[in-house]
Amino acid sequence: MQIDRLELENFRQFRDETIAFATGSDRNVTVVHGANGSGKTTLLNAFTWLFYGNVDFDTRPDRLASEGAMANAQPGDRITVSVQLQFEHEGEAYIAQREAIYEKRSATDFDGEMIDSEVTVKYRNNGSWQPRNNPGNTLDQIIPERLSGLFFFDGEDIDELAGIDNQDRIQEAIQNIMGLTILERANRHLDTVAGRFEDEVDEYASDELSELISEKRAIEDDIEEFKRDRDDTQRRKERIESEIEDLEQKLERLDESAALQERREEYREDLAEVEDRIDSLDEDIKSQISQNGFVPLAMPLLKETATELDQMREEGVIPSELSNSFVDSLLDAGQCICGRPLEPGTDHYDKVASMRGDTVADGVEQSAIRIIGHLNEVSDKESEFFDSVDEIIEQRKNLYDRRDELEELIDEVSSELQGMNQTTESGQSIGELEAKREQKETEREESISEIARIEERIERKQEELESLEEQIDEQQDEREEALLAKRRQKAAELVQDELEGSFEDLKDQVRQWSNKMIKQTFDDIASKDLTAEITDDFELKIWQDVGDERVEVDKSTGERQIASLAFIGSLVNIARERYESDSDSEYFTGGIYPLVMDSPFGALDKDHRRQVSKVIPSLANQVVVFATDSQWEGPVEEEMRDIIGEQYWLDFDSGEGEGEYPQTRIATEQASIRGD
Amino acid sequence: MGQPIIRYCKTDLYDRLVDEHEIFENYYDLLVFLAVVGYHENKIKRNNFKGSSSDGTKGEAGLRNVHSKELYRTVMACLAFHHTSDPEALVDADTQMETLAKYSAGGLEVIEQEISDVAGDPTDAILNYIERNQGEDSGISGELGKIVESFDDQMMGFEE
Amino acid sequence: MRKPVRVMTGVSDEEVSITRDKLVKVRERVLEAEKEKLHLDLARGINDEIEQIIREEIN
Repeated sequence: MQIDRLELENFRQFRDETIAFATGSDRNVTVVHGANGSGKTTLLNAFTWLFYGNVDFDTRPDRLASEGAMANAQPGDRITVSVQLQFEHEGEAYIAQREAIYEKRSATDFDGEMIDSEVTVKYRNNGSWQPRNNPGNTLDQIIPERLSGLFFFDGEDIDELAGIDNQDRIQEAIQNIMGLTILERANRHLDTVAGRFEDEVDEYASDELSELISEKRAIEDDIEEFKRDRDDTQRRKERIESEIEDLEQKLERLDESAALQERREEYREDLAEVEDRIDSLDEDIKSQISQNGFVPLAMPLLKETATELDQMREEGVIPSELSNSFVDSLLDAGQCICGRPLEPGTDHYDKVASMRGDTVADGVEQSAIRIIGHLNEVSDKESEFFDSVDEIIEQRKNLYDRRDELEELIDEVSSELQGMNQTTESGQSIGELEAKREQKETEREESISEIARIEERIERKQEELESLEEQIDEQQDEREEALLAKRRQKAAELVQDELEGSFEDLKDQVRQWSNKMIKQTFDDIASKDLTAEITDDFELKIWQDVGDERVEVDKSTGERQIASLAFIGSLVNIARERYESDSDSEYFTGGIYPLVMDSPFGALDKDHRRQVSKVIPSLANQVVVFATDSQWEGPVEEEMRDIIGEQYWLDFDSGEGEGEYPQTRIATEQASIRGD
Repeated sequence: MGQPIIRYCKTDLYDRLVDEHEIFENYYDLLVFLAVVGYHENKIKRNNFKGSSSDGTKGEAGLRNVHSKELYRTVMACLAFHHTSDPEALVDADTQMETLAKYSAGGLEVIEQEISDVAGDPTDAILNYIERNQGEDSGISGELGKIVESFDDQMMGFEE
Repeated sequence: MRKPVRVMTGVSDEEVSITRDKLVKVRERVLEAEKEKLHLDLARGINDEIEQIIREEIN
């Protein structure tokens, strides 16, 4: 399709305006300059209103007729609103026009009442214009309404294509451009129709066949149910498994805890033993003190005394003989002064006994003798005391060390246990947890067997199903009608099969073609090692090369817009190639489409604007671009200067004055230049 | 019944060291120990050394019990001799008993002081005291050794 | 939706025989019908139409 000329009459703020579009092959871009609110969107709506009767206005969507025209009319007058497009399509010239007639109902009525509406399409046939019988249909076939969004679009919508979760839109665009919607629908419808024929088979079938069919359906239902059961059981199994894991974790912690407690017990026992031994050593010390503690302190006393006594003896103060009573007492005691025992009848005894008889001062010398006699003993006792005590002290010290060690170990274990006890559940003993775990294990095994059982059942049912289907196919004694219905059912199914396969194949084929072109476009203009592609899932993704890998880019608006434009461009190109190719397409002949874009530069920065500008001319045979001054100036103007075929300025008069109404004129020159 | 009684001052120390902590087996063990401590520190109480019943410090020990240990007998004799410088004291039981009590009372104050800042069982403190205050040389050597020898066999005439 | 896995080579069981040509014919007509109804969102009667096509072709 190539658009030539658009004429507007009383369409919103366009009272009587015309645009002729650039149609050349190299200067194929038409630019329409206009400030926001001057009517760019209205122009876009003119197309969609013409083709499909649709408008999308933000303000006063019902007020189609120009305010000025309505104002100048009298109540009862009729205003004609018209949009006319001259175009060519597949070698033929067309004029399409939509007209709507509004009647002004009152002096203050500016909406008017639509009393008539008509679409006409004429084509030139051998020099004269012929009407098309089904103009709506004709138009829709030229640019189907479902495609209209691609070719008449608002720049602000464009980046939605590359947004997240827009696979559906992309798939739809691909389906639409290639006529694949047809396949997709045919698929669905054939399925429905096959079902109808099966019902018919059932209806006409012999009882036997009928029965087989209902059996088949019953089995299919059973299989569904089994599958549900299986899935439920599967989920149950997974739940049990996670419960088991949980229990095992608890047990592990308890096991660790039990081991630690055992160890602590051992330490405590050791400690008790050590303390017992310490106590025993303490008692030994006491015993030593009690028995011999005085000895070291008494030693000097004894020595001193002995020395003095000796001196006294030399001075003759102390007699040196033994006294009788002393000897007696010695004999009585059975002990010699030298310490040797006296046994009656021995020589020793006799000798001592023979010493009796001398009368000397009683006692003193014995005492002296005794004292001196004790000195050795005392000396020995002193050594013994210290040796014993030293050894005991030494042993005790070792035990003290060991006790400290054990106390430290016990503390360590205790705090470790304390840490653990906080995470395990209180109140559950190992035994309880073990029991529970075993129970869960059993449950788990049961669920596994159950799943296996169910799957076995499913398998058997499926075998039954297959054999039933065979039987149904082979039913011999069928009535004619049933047979026929069967054939029809089969036909529907087979065609569906093939279409389904082709559908998927073609979608992917187009995806791949589109990909190639997108890649090229992107490579040509986008910076920073970026690529764009449509994935297998029909997502439009933008990638960046990072070292050896590529990383998905969080798309900036600029990249998104470029990617989306590139995508649309690729579709347009594919359609055109199909159209121009010789091969006989079974499904769709392709087509040539123009692109009409309202503010594609809107949200972009300078660099991206430049890039988009570079892309635009190649997107379609004909491109119409609306832009504001600020969007236009600079890189856009630079890039597009040489490919502009036609240029217009929307001259908006807001009509503030008395008797004035908003109006836009389409000028071929800038207002400033004209000097208005 | 009928044996001579040593009257001494028996304070809480006795309860603590004998009854409570069983460091000394009998009261008289502690009595003698304290006496040698008194000797060592040269502390002696010449008055009020017998204890009084009014403040519950009346202590009594049977002489024969004390004499059950030969060495105690010797110590008592030496102590009395040391105190009086009179050899007769070696056989004078009364003097010995009193002397023992006097020195014991002196030693009591020393040991009380020594373990005053020890809470609980003062065994180690007592032991420390003994170790710190032991005589310079143990064992008999030199002249004294000779004396010991000569008293022994010479007395008995057993020298060959 | 069913998912039969059969190739459209025509079927030649005794009773249920359908030639390849026939199937192609049905397919083309179905697609044609869909194409015509393409611009409608709700293709009323398309199922009936397809049913009709099959009835006509398979008889």
